[in-house]
Amino acid sequence: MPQIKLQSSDGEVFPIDVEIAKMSTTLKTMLEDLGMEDDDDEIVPLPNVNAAILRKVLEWCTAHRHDPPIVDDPNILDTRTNNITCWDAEFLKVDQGTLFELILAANYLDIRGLLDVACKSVATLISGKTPEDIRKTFNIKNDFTPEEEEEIRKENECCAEK
Amino acid sequence: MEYLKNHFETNPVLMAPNFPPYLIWKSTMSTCDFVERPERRFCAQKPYRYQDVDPLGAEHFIIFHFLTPVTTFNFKMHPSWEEANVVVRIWGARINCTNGIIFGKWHLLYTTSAHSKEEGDPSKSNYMENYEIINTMRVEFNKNFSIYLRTLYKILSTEIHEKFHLFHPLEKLSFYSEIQTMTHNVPVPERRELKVEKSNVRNFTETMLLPSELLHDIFDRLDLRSLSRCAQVNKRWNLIAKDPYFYRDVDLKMYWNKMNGTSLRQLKEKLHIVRKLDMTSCNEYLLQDIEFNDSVASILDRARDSLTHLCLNHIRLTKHTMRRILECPNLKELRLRNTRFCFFEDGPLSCNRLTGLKTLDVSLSYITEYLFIEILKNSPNLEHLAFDCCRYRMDPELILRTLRNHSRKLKSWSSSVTFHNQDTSLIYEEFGQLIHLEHVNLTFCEPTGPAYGGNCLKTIAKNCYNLKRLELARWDHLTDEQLLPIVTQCKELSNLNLMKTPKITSLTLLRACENLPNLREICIAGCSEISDKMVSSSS
Repeated sequence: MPQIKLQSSDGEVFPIDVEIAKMSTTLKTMLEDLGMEDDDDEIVPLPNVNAAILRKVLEWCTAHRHDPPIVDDPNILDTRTNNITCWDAEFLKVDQGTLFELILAANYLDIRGLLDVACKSVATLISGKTPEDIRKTFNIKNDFTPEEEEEIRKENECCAEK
Repeated sequence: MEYLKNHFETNPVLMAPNFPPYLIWKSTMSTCDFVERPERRFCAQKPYRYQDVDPLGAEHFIIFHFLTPVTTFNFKMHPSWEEANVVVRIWGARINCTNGIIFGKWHLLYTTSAHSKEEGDPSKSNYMENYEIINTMRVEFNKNFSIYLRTLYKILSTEIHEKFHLFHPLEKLSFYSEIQTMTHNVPVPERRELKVEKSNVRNFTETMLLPSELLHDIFDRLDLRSLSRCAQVNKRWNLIAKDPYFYRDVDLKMYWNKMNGTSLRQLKEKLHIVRKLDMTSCNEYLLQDIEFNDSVASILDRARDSLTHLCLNHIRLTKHTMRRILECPNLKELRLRNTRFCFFEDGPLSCNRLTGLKTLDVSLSYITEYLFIEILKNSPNLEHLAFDCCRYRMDPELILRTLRNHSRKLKSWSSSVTFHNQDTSLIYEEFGQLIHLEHVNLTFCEPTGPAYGGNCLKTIAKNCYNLKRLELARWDHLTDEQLLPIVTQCKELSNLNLMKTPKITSLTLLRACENLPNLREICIAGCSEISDKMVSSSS
């Protein structure tokens, strides 16, 4: 199986199967544009992703290598649900910082499945919480004046209240 | 292949002695909106926004109107509601029955969910949690079909009906069961709480940790309730959460009890690029609600060019709003199920901008024949048409002629009950012109007169090569010979519904099994000529 080498921002090199690398649309486009498939020695630098995160990303890609590709067909019932598989839930049991970095890496490498599942897990963190709880969870400061806050609360009250 | 021999017998609504079967209910007894076999997949509506799909399915509910106000203290929950997988949510309100004005608001009286089963003492939860005086009760169920019907049966036959009938006579009972989406068993999604440890690194600022592009990705996967709450977190989040991008597909039926003119006006700003909008039940109890209709009209005005799917089931519409709907040039799907039109004169409503329409559902609605025909005339791309149980009289000949001349791409046709008890001998020969038909539902629409039924089926068999699903339930005079062309010529047929066709014998079964390679389901419930023995021998 052909391999390529990925280099993280902190210099670590990861040799991986081309098949796995192609789960990233960014890498896939690059490989196709440059015709790098035959060339084993080329190293692809990924300046936005550090070694720890890249390792996580590759772990996810390896586990999901046989997933069917996500298609944007409005005629197919949206298969995205609020459910996260056990494996993914276990995989995403990481601290907030790592989770956010994973999302950024997935976004940069354009890995739809990973981006989707990671964003969903943050969405689960948010859903069911009051604005105050959300602030606490993500350590966010409230920068509204009391008047503004009341106004915004009124603006959003129809859907926000149970 | 599946024989649905027993479907009829196990349908509890039909079994309940106090409640006559479907369609024999008089309008004075109830507004009966029960759909006999609610699983027509071809016109099943997909949820417009997956995050906002209510596990309870806010479309599956029963409404009880009591003549006198009752206190919620009187109600005791039926034990079956405590069973696993049964999810029930009960709302109560006081509504002035003559003008539909609500006193106060809808109160959430009782809710059971699969998650809270283990906690607490079950005997305690048998009573309503809040003390309210109500005269209208709305009971919502989860979508699990068998549980739904069983629970319904128990309510109808035991708890509320018998016990409270004497003291609080039911004035009106409405029963809504929307078309099932995809499967019968939609389990309550299990919410997996992710335990994410708080980051130890606190020297990150919030902006660095959650850059705007990342928030954008996350917000796109949130339900409307959480999105509204995120808008209240801080200024930056507020700005991002306001983006109309998150409001492209909006499902408001879950928030039916919150929606009114005022709340819609607040939403209006965000809805100006909305593509799919579902407002099912949002003003069901407000008669002639001008404010609500004004807000809807102004939303439609702004989103006119982006709107592709619109669902206004169980809503009271004014002419003003209807005109706006007909002006949306890119509309592909329009659902007006059980919609009341608060205008009585037809007047000129121009439909000529509605050319892209593919799906039209006006079942149970008070649409007039004139308006219906006008819409059909202007929809050359129409593929799915459902007009079951229309409230006003429809002329089948006129509809078919219009379709033949203007909408020749029609794939599915459903007119269950609409032509019931009409004297006209239907000219179903016109079906021959609609050669793309795949699904035909003619339940309760048997043509009157001796030969018409046979001729009709002959034309369908001859011309509709792609026929996949045919429903001929309650065709009292249908014979094996009349059905012969269908079972020999429509090779693609996969579903055949012959419920309560008393003259059909096992001969049809045998022929169908021999000739139709794709047949998956044949419903012969209530076919008295077919015995179990014959079924087993022919299968």
